[in-house]
Amino acid sequence: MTRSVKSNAMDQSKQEDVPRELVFSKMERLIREMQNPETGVPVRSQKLFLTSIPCAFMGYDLVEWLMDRLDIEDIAEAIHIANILCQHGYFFPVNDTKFALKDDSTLYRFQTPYFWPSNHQPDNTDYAIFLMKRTLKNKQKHGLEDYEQEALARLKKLLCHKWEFVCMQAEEQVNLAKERKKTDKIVLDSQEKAYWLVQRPPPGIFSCLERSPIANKQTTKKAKTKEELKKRVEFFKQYICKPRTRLRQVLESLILRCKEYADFDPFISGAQPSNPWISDDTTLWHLNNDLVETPTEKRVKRWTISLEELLADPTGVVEFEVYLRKEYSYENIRFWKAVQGLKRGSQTGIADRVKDIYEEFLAAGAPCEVNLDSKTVEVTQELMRSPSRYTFDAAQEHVFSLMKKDSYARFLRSDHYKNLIRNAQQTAQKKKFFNFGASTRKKSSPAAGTSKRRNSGSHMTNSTVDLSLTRQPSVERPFTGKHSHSTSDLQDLETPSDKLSCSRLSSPSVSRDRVNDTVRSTLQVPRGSQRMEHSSSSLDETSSNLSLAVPRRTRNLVAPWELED
Amino acid sequence: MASDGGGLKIDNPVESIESLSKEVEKLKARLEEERQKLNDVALSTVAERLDPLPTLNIKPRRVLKGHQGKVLCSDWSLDKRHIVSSSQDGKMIIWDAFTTNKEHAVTMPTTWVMACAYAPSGNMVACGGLDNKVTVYPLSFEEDVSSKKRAIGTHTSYMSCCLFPNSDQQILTGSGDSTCALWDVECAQLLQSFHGHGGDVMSLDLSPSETGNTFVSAGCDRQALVWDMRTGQCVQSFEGHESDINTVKFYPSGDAIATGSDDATCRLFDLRADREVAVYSKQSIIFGVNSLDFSISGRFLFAGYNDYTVNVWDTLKCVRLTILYGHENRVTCLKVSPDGTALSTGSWDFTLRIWA
Repeated sequence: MTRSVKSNAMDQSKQEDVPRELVFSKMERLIREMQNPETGVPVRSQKLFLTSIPCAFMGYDLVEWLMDRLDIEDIAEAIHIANILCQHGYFFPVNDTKFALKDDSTLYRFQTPYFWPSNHQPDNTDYAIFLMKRTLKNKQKHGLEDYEQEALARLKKLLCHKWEFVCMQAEEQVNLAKERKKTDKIVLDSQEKAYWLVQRPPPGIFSCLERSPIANKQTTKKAKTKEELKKRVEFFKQYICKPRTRLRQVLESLILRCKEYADFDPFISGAQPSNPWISDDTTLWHLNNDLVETPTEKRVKRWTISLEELLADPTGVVEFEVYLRKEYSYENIRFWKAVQGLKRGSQTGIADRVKDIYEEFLAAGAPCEVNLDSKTVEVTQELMRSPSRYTFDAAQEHVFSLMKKDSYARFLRSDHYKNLIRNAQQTAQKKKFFNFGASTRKKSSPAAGTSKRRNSGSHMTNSTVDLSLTRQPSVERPFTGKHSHSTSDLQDLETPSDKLSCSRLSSPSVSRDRVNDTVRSTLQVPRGSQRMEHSSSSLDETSSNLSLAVPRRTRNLVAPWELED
Repeated sequence: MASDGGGLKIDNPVESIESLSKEVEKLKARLEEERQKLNDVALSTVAERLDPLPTLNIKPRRVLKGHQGKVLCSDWSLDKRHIVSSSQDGKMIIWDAFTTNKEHAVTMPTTWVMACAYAPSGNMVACGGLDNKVTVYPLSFEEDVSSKKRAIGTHTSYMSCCLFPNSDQQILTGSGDSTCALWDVECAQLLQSFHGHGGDVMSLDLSPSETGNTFVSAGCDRQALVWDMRTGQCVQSFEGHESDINTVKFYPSGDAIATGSDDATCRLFDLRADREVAVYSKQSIIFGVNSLDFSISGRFLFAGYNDYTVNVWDTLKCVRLTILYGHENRVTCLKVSPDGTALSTGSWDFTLRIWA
């Protein structure tokens, strides 16, 4: 019930901002500890030249205290925290208007709790009185900055109805101050000044006290109705009975996931040939366009992780399709894609599209009938009565698991996949070991062991380079000519064009150029290229005259030492 | 809860509302008991055997300057180099982050554009904020982008987050009206709404699994709820944070979710074990988390804080690896690029930064 009390309180004062209060209270607890005379930051009167500065402490004392208290190892972090506290106005530099903490003997003074940001919501009148007061004092010491004079002028207009009151207040406070001891006066003056520097910062300075307009978020909007509560009771009743997996088991799986993907995580293994953000070279992206003729080795290996991973990659889908065609189980992937399209498509015409899919894949004697068990068929037929984008979910799931258990496993063992791996682009390779001839970077050579690397144990290091090096025999495998399967090949599969395969056999660099072609179009129309389909004719036309300078550049970046040899 | 006022009108329902509330609380406690039963080991213990990660050498690589207000949200295009960002002054900017060029700038008819998202095709962006609406802008170089804008859906309070669920045709939104909603883009129609949160929804994320139809949302009721998109039903709920949850993200495998809260902690909840499995906190971190994301493998957890920093955590060992300094005000949004090569952050200091 505490929460409802809180929400009532929040309704009353819209300014309440619980998360903000939480941070303030954390900081203030820390500041109180700092001010503990025994265990806190040493505060005393500090001598600066001939004057004595009362109640001050030094920057490095504070940093040291923070490191000790918060168990901080890196001094940079302690300085950062100190700076944040300073910006919130919990302490301030004695001789400076810039609220930054320096890790040296610069002097700082604690703000009085009265002026802590959590305690005080200042208004314009307060600010006007403060500024007025300073105009009444010694000009050299208390003179107003330009922005403050402007502010004062603005406030004078704004508060003209009570300007007399402002002036009176200011005078009175100045008179009161005269009776104080000198050291008290210095301290109080500095605290007040610091307070306003935080609350009304000079132009160009960020204030850390700004709020977002949705500060008064509410934890409970309205009283729950009986119906809602009944629903919740039902929900929890069911929820309690839900089966749960043992913790150790799920933790091992979380760890396994990290291991499996360590090689594919640029933050762990780097990016080959180079990370574009670091090297300013976009080769990596060009090599990994959505649809490429020759995927990189890394990419092909990633497909072995799971069918999901394969299907998440457009090139992976294409290659899988090519394989399934050979296997005569092409309808499965087509069905899966059709349902995927249905689920992600527009709302309009859903019923028609459901019907189309049904007739193509599921109806008795359909042209591309997929194999479903009787139970799934039943479920689907039931759902067909009110077609929706989710009508085929069960069927899709069934087909997916079918592909996963069957076709996908065979795909990974197939010659088709082996060829893909063999012909894959080896971005991480040190080409020094190969004598490939002078200028063209060929699609390089065999790295036959497909999934060895994944099982090899040393996951967390950058094993790509080492392993591919040790495993490399220095002989180039003969070119099979069967390696390339792009979408264009799909169209040509039934009636293979002699010319096409011929040119591919004779010039191993063609397919590389085709990659470049995608690259170029990406550069020109970055937007359209995402889902660009290869068009076979234009590619063949352009492939011959596309001798870009890219291979050369790539080579240098991949193996800069090569030039030195 | 907070039903004291209602008691004046009718007597009996209050009684039963109270008893129902009590029953909910009782069931919640029993649920917690069930969850604790299988608690046999801690993640950091299991992960002890792993080798420590190599030292991270992440540096700021690009600074995107152009917003004249606080940057509130950003999203990567799947082309790995474009970014859409939105800000407090009502501007939305499309960047080629690689060259740092601005390709489009759109002025929204509202301030505090708190959410923006890139469509998977890269041909469209969606955004919204204090206007309570989600608006899409098809991107083209031929004509003014705002001429083609379309409002897709309206909430009854501000829109805090949005995303395209693997499709240009749908948008998923979360709102201060404590609901989430799935909209059809073409018809500008509500497909499904999701009720269950007891406070503002601040963040949502789609399950990364290809076939998955679930997403997770979290917000000011300190709950993270997992939803079935098809039925609109909540299937799992997670609690544990001591203040508002500002951000939620799926672990890349889709088996767990990470949350970041104003209580200065991040937490990891596993969906299969149905419970919290890790807390990422440190004595020296006192400010809230606004945004978080995982690296491709899931090993690194990046989190943007109100103290202007990004903390990088080892997800498995639950230790902080390093701090990224650079922003001069709150870090509001943070996203790992689609291919995992970079990290983008946006801040109240008006800039976005790319780290790699």
